[in-house]
Amino acid sequence: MPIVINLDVMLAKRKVRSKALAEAVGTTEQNLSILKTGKAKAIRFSTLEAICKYLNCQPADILEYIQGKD
Amino acid sequence: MNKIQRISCCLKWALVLTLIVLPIFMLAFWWAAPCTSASSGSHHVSLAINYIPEALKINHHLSSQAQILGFLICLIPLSLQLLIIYFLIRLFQNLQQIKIFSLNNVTYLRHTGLALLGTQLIKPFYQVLLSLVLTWDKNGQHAIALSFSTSSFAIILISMLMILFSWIIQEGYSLQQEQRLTV
Repeated sequence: MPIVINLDVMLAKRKVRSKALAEAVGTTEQNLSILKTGKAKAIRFSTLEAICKYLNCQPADILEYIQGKD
Repeated sequence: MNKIQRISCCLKWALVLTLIVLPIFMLAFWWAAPCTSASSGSHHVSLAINYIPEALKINHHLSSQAQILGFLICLIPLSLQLLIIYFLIRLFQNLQQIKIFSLNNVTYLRHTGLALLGTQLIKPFYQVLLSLVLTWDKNGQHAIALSFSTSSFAIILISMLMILFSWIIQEGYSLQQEQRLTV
């Protein structure tokens, strides 16, 4: 998929654990794991907003488009 | 064992039995040198599986060659029917193991529908071959017989519905997967 999820990078930068982020966003760790591993098919705006709010970042910090990547 | 498992198990074993018995019946039928003439007093035990067109009347004794050829030609529709039974066995086996919402079930359903459609599409071809082979012994007269009854139309309709339903279930499964992978 050309969209790359850099959530791991942001979690490391902010020194936040997945469990804490999952609780703050209102989802499960399994769901977050789906996002981190790139298996997610879609992400709700509400989830993206909650992640960006908690990690104090922009959507572009988490989502990256790489042309030609499958 | 719940109700689905019990019924699936019964149906599976009934189909396994049919899978074994059907070829044996057909072999026995052709070995016994069939004759469709009512005047001969003999009636088929296995009319349902002899594949001979209803319009064809055979009033003579069939040669060994005709019997063998008839049997070989009948293997064509029989193999499709055995394939249908095999797919249904696998389907009920999955249901017995409570794998109800599996993508494999969709595949089995679609393949069953396709094989069922195939049995009707090849019907004209093997019936023509069969009628040629069975009337070849007659002196001076040969016949070609084709039968296409309302039951054939019904089977075609059912097979197309099975293919359609399998597609719908597959689309539903894809939507469900997408929903499951939406964060």
